This record gives sequence, structure tokens and C-alpha cells, in this order.
Amino acid sequence: MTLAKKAYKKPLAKKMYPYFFIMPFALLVLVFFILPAIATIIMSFTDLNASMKINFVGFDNFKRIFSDYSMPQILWNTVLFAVVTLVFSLFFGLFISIATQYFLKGKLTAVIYRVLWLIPSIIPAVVYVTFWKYLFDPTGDGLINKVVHLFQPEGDPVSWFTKIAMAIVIIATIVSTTSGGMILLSAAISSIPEDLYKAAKVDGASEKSVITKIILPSLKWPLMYITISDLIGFVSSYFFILLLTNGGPMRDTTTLSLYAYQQAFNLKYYGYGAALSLLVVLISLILTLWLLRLFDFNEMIKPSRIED
Amino acid sequence: MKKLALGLISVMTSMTLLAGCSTGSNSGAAANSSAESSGNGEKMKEVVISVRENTWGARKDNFIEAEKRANEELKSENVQIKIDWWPGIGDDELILQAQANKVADVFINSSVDIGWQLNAGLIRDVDWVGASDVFKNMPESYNNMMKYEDHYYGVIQDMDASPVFISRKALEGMGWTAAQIDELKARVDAGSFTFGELVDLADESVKKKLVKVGFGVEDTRFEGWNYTFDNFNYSAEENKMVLSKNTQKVYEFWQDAKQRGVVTEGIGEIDTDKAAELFIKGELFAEFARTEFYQVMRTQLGMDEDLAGYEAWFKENAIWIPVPSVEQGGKPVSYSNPALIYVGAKVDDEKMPYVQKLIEHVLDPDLQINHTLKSGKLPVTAAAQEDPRFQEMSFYKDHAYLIDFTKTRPAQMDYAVYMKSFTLGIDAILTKGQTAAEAFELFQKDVKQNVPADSLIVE
Repeated sequence: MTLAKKAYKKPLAKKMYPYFFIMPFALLVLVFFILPAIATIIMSFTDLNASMKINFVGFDNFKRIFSDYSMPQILWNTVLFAVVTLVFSLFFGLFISIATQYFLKGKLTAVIYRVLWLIPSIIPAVVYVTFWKYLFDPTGDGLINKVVHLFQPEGDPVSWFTKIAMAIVIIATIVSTTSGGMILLSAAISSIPEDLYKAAKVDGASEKSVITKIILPSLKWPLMYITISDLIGFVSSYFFILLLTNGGPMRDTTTLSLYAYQQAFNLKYYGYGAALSLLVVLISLILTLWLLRLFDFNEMIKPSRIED
Repeated sequence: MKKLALGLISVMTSMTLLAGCSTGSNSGAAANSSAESSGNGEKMKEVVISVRENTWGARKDNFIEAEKRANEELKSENVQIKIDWWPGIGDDELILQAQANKVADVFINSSVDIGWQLNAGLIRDVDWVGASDVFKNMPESYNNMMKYEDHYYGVIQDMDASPVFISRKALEGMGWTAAQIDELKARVDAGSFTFGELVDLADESVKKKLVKVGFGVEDTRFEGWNYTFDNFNYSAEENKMVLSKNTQKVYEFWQDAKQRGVVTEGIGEIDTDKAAELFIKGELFAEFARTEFYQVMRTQLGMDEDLAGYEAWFKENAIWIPVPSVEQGGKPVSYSNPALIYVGAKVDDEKMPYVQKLIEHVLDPDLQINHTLKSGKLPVTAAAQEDPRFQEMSFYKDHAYLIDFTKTRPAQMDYAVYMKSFTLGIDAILTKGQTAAEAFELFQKDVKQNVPADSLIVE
């Protein structure tokens, strides 16, 4: 009786298994993410610069952000870059995935088309940027200027990077990032049961109805994921901009994250750079929460009401 | 299977801990300590000197050769130097290395970096430079570059000058005779040919469609033209940047040059390689560059192994002059970004004599010329400039006199921030069509916001 009552006790070794598995990665996260994040927060309250002498200055760096005359332009650049890039890359990703996974499903042309779109994302960033630099080279040797020269032989080469720098940065980023969304959305479309399409056809549904009533509703999850991850990526990334324009001309393509990078690593104002990067984190956090609400995340993770 | 998984996890955990917690002190400790080792049966004291540099020019080769030469001399003292070579890195990594307590004993950086490196505790004084025979009879400008707050903190490693390369064909196209072209440099030296006249020539050559671009400039911070207008922006006495109204004069030049089409709005996008390409094609009137541009063009023409052929091409297609003064009778202008050899703060007085010996040998005349041949930089000591191989290099040899009035960037900590504000004003003129006065206003606003008040004198 007492034996039967005695509850089964897991051996300690078994209890520890999950922690053994988790530990190496938890340590990596601690060393490479959590500790640097704590260091960044501490740094943002100091005037740390190249002299490497730490003086705590309270909220001075944050006050400076609000009094920085270039901040409105930088915030506007960030919004413009992130929103326009997101909208277009999302639209292209969706468009290509529907085209190749529904209309051209199983055809070789669909595979070739998807591979073509994948190329920009698998090319190393430096090589990719070199191509764009060549494309918009301000001298007569640039590809676009060569084309322009064919139509206007007497005209001077156009300095594209000083005239339409933000547009170039946005286009280059869209072309490079569209494939990420395209892959996820294609996978989601291919997982839609064929029966649904057949049933819709039998019912006489138009192609438009199939897309809006069957395909798009099933893409809510991947669309939410792509929107959130891409938007955070566009707000916090600066690599392409750094390589393409370094934020210029003037500060026309300087986004908040690039500005933080420049302050910290070009000008060696680590304290101010850290405060700016915290602002980037705060904006990303707010955007994530807002998007989760927009996509009705709580509703999406609720258990299904359909009973077996 | 479980045992295997546990074993793997243990290994991964250990590796992670080692990676995260290790100070990586094996090479660093060795680099900063002296060890006993035996050679030829005798006990030799081994002094390990860590040198952090890349292989650019002959820098690495020269350190290795200097080690050999120093060791020959040190045999009698029963001491041997051993270089512990660290790869060259940027300023950010230099700071991180310092944070990890791993500053190399010897490293090379720009002369502009003295200020922040000293404040960050990365370097120590090298006052032996003042008494060293190697640096005797050096121009005063060199001593100024190596000094900061009355001490020597760096040893000049190489030097350059900033000539203007002008298209001979364009001058000929404007009707200049060979004699007029060949005497232009002498006129600049005498101050009878001014910067304004050079701008006029560029303007004319563009308008007559002899070239596509008037001026190209290597340094996209456009510092050289600041010096041309005597706008040095720095007070050495107070070690502060100066917000001077002189800057507006420079902006006026930019506005005028932009309006006349002498400079293009994408001038900052035309790097040295592209400028060389344009110059070779005869599409650029004048390139404001440094002596290295000569070598860049030679390489682009595929004449690295054909000096005679390149000299003939250069004579036929180009001339060089110093940057002319803006005023009649004024001296020409030259600027440079010399590299200094720094000694890490951890090098103590006991180790310093060996570090000194190594550095002095790096500056042996023949090694300096080896570096000139590979990099296009100028040698810095009088002995090296007398080297027969240098005397044979007419282009470089003829630049040596510019060093006497060459200006270098100030070693002030906030200089980079100041210059960012300055180039913002130029961008405003080039890309937004702003006037010189508007650009100056923007520059002032940006400097006052970004340069710390205790690093700035507002005139």
C-alpha cells in the first residue's frame, strides 16, 4: 500500500538532461547577447569616448538625442527606409510566391525565377554593393550613365548617389531581401491542400477568389513573421547603407542605427552611440508589440475551436 | 548514445567556457615578457617584442630585417630580440585589444592618432627620438609631428607630399607651349602662379571640352584645400579645434568651383583608382593627390616592371606641381598623412632600449627605400634621401623639398568630428545648391552641437 502510494521520483541525471542540452546555448546567449546588452545600457549613461575613461553623466546622452538638430531628419529617413522597403519587399515576396507556387506550380520557369531572386541574397554583401556602385557610378563608366549616354550623347554623367541616394539604397535592399519572404510564403502556399483548390474550382470560384479566400488567409502567420522580422531588420540594420552611401549625401540616407554606429565607431562617442542604439531597440520593441496586436496574435495562438 | 550526447555536451560546454572566459594570454604574455633561451651553447636573453602591423609596402619585411640587424649587434650583449607578429587592425580593434590588456609593444598608426591613443593609455613617450642619431638633422615639421604636449610620442615611419597632377594634353589643347608647361612648377614655387589661376585653367579645359572633369581630389575630407586657404582650424598651443570664419573662404571656393563646373557634385565618389583611370584616359584636368598616385597610375597602365616606359608616358601625358598658393608670392602648399611608429604603454624602461634599437633599424636608409619602392611613400631621414636608389627615382626625389612646408592633420581627439561637420557644409554646396554663407552656418551649427565645448575655440 505504502509502496503504491509512493510517487515516482525521476533520477537526478534525467532531471538534468534538459539543462545539459540548454546550457551551452544559454551560455552563448549570456556571453554574446545579454552581457553586451547590459554593457550597452550602462555605457549609455556614460560619456565614454576614445580616451576610455568612464564618467557617469546620468541622462545627458538621452537629453542630447532630443536636442540633436539632425534627429528629425534621421528619424524620417529611418521611417522612410523601413516602411517603403518593407512594403515593397513584402509585396514582391507575396507576388512572386503566388505566381510561382500557384499559377506556375511545378513548372521549370517557376524554379528558375525563384532561383534568380535568391541570387542577390546569397551574394556576399560587399560584392553585391560593388555591383550597385558600378550600376550608379557617377562617371561615364557607370552602367546607368552609359545607357543614358546612348540617348543623350552630349549630356554629362549623372551623379546618381547625390541625386537619388535613398531610392538606390531602398531598391538595393528590396532586391536583396525579397527572397527571404518569398521562400517562407512559397512554403506556406505549397502546404495548402490541393483539395481546397479543386473544391473551389468545382464551385466555380475565380482565380481572384482562390487568392483572396484561400491563399491569403492561410498566409497570416508567415506574413506576420516576415513583417515583424523584416521591419525590425530594416530599423536596426545599416550595413547596406554604410557600404553604399555611408549615410550621405549630407545625412540624406542616415538612419538611426547608422547614426548610432557612426557616433560610436567613426567618432568614438561610445556613450552617445549606446544611447542611440537603445532608442533603436525601444522603437523595434514598440513596433513588434504593435504588429502583434495588428495581426491579432492572441487570436492566432488560441487553441482551435474545431473539435475532432 | 546518451553517454555520447553527454560527452559532446560536456566538450561544447568546456569550449564555450574557455572561449568566453579565456584572456587569450598565451601570446600576449609572451609578447610582453622576457625569457631565457639558449643559443650556440650559451645562455641568451630573449626579448620578445610584439609588433602589430600589416604587410603594406615593405613595413613587415623591414621589421623582420631590422630584427636580424639588431640581433647581430646584440650578440655581444648576449641578448636577442624576437618579434611576436600581430596582424594589423583598425582603431576599433586597437581599443578593444587595449581593453583586453593586450596592447602591442610596437604598432603603426597615423600621426593624427597621437591624442586619443595617449588619452586612452595605449602609448608611451619615446623621448629618445630627440637624442637619437637616426633622427638628426630632421626638419622641424617632422619633430612637430612626432611631438605632443612637449614629448615625443611617435617615430615617423614614412611620409608623403601632395602634388597636383595636371593633364599635359589639356594644357597643350589650351595653347600652352612645351616651355610654358615645363616652367609651371617653378612658377608655383616662386608664387607667381596662384590657385585661382589653376581653377581658371580647369574651368577653361572643361568648357573647351578638352576634359570631362576639372578637379579630382583624393582625400574626400578635402583637407588639402583647407590648408591652401590657410584654414588650419587648430590651435596647437591650446590643443583645440578652431571654428574660424576662414572656413567661409573655403566654402566660397567650393561654391564658385561648383557653379563653374570645375568640380562635380559626385567628386567624393571618385576615388583614387577611378581618378587614375580618368586621368589616364585624358578625361581629368587635375588630380589633387599624394605621391602614391604616381604609383597607382603606373600599376593601372601595367608598367610596374617598366620604369622607363612609364616615365616616358608620364612625361608625355602629365606634369605635377605643388598646390599653388592662393596669393601672389605665397608659398606652395603640401599636406601629408604620415605614419608613426608607436610604442605601447606597457613597454617599460628595461625593454625600451631593445624597442628603440629595433625601430632605429626599421629606419635604416636602405629599408626606407625598400618601402618607398613598394608603397610610393617618401623616406623620412636625410640619410635615406641620399641613398643612390632614391636619387634615381626622379619623381619622388623631386618631391623631397615639399616636406619642409608640409602640413599634417592635427592630433586633436575631436578632429574627426570637426571634419565631419566641415564636409557636411561642402555636401550642402555640392548637392543642395546652398551658398557658401548657408554652408558655413550649417557647419557652425554642426560643430557647436557635436564638438565638445572644451575642445573648441570659437573665433
